Amino acid sequence: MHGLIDTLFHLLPIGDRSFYERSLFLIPLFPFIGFLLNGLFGSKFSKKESSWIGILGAFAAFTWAFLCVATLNVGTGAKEGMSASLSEDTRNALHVVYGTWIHVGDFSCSFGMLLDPLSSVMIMIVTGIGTLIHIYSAGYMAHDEGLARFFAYLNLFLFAMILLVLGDNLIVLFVGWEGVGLCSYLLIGFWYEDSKNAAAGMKAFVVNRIGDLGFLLGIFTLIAVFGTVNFVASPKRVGVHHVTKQTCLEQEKVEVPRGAGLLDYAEALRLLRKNGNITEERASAPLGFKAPENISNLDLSHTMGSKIFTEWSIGMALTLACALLFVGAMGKSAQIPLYVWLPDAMAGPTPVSALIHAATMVTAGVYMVCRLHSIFSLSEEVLRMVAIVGGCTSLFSALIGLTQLDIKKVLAYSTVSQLGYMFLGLGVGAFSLGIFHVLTHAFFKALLFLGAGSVIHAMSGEQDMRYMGGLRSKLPKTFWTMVIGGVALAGVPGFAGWWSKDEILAETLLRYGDSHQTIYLVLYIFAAVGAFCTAFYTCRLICLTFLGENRAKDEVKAHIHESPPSMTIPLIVLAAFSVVGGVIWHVAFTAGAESQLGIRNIEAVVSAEEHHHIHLINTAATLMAAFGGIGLAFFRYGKGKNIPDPERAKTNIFYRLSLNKFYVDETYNALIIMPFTIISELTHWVVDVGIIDSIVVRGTAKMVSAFSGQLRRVQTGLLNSYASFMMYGAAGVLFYLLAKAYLIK
Amino acid sequence: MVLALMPQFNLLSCLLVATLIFIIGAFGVVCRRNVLIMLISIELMLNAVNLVFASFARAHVNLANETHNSTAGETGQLFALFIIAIAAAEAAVGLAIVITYFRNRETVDTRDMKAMSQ
Repeated sequence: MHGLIDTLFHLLPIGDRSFYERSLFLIPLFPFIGFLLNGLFGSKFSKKESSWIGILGAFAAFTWAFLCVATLNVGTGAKEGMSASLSEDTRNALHVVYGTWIHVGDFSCSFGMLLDPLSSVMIMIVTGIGTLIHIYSAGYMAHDEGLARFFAYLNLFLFAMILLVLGDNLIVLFVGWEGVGLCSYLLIGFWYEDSKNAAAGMKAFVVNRIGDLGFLLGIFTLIAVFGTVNFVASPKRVGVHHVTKQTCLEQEKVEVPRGAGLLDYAEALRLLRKNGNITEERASAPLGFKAPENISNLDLSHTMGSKIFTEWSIGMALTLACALLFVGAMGKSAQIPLYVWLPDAMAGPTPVSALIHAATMVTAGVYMVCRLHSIFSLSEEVLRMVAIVGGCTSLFSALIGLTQLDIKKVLAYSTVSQLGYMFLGLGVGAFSLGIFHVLTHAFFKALLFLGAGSVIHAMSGEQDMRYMGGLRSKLPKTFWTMVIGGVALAGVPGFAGWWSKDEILAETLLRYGDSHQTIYLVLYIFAAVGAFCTAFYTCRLICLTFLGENRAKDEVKAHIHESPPSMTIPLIVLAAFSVVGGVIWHVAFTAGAESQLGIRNIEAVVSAEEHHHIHLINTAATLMAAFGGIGLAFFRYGKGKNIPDPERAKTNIFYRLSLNKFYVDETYNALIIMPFTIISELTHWVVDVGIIDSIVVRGTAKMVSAFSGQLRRVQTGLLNSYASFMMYGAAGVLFYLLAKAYLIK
Repeated sequence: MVLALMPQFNLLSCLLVATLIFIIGAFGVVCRRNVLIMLISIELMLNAVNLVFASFARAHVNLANETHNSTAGETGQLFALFIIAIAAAEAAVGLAIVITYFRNRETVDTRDMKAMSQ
């Protein structure tokens, strides 16, 4: 396999690192050009031309990203041949800085791009699956009037997402972060004629803003602590480029590069902590810490944090920063309590649900945590919080997914749940597994969404599974690809989803074995029950949609047809990756995480025997969950029986809770939105209408108009009156002069 | 003989007459609606001022005779001459405007001259 890839690499024009390094900007540029063409001149193109521009924009980005990633990997291969110490000294990354962007006082931020193994995983997901979904959209949206606008938005989304992934500092990442949020809003409300869709877009935007505020505050805190937003040291500086440990005079010295980035500082702090130089970091390393010269050149005394928060230690500030950054991730990646926007986001066209709300944008939070994993590693409390939020989300939304009737809603809650697994993985310190699950999930969830889109397309827009059924013979390609996606999601061994989810569950249990904190055991049980629910609702979805009798109305029945090749080919490609995606890459994300991905997971320390036992228990549990869930659902729904009936909610309280999504939206309405609306109405009527409008604004206007109404009478237009005014004026001046001369002396 | 019949020169009474003429002129400008009458009133005002100049010139000559200053009073008389010339020019221009206006509008009433305010 590797030999084949190597041969392929040598055939392609790759290898010139500095060329590809300098031209990294081309990756986001291609979709941006597509956006400009379709956005500005969309009305002049035919539908076919618009689709081609959109697809080419995505495909060119994918091609260029592929060449860059290939160059990155070839570079490593060459270096492995050299001495080990050298390869350790150089970070394996394409890093380019195009110039200073913001410069305020001591703080400066450059515009640069960084392609390292972590971002290359993400960039391949984003551009690769993005291209497939562009192709799919050309078929799915072929009859839509706003096709050019749709492709313009999709390309703009790709541009922003690539910026998010490739940004070499937090500010560029944040620009991309906001850009994808904007595109998400635009695309959810794509069919804005229906006010429900527009409202769903607004909900997504507003909920994301809550997270974004946390994210921004987190960035500010990091600036206060480290005085920089760059991830790593700038490539242009001379000397060492990353943190090194040197032995001089029998003393280990931690060397920080000049112009170090966030990750360099975090790495230095980790090494110092490990060496015992900062033992009780919480107590002894204040903000603005400057290490003694004999242990390190780490110097944070120039940052502003030490001047503002004099009482704080670095550990406390980092905990705060990570917690705030995680709030941002909760918003973007739809975690409890900010997940409510994602199910509503299904109002957008289905390709959008697949690309933005399943495969790429919602995983931005996972990517961000992973990008900063060396900082998160320094804060155990925040990691525990991440694990708790992730574990709870994975179970909670899986429970809601059990009873949903809308095919896309099931998948939406499933996405929230799978994102929960990713965060559980991050929270237990297995950062690479979080990204691994992003990768496998992107394949099978994009596949499931696109399959659902194909079903909806065939059913003339019907999304309610009660009116489907029996589509297996009519949509064979969609059926088989969705079955593959389903078993991958359910966690059947060998398929993509199993490799990552199983590992995450195992890591959770290992973390319990290491720390013996009950919370990890509880989270493990949550996640395992969640896995059972996942298998159940996935199988239920497939059964209700494809098996049994067709329950559609007659006029819909007549139109059922398999989708065009532009839609089925992406399905087949994604299905292929849902089968093999786990097995070919799992080594890179588990054993090779540090050497190949540059991600340093927090290893759980357990004895070999315990390790073996935990894996055994976990395998048994996940297998039971997967096959138990599938079996139970097949038993219940397999023969087209037990069509879901909301009437049952009247008698069964659990069914009612799940069907009504645990009344979370209603709770938010009552606790947050209602008081907010009442206060807004009150201020509107009292302050705005009562004071500002009537007194300040209209009062001023009335006063001026009354005064000028009087003054206007002076302007008679009669010559004589003007002459008399002149006379009065002359007399007045005369009297003034006389008075001045004689009276006031 | 004739000189003896003339009353003694009195500055105050001259100024009173000038003031009276000026007020009549000003009143005419402000109150009359006929532009021609207004022009005549302006002439009245100018002549009132002329009278003031001439009276003060005379008063200065009387004063100069006592102090043997030969050039006193010339300025006032010169100004009076200037004003007569300017008044003639002004009357010519003003009349020309009034005639042109009358030819276009067939009126010289100020109440009808409101084109700018409408």
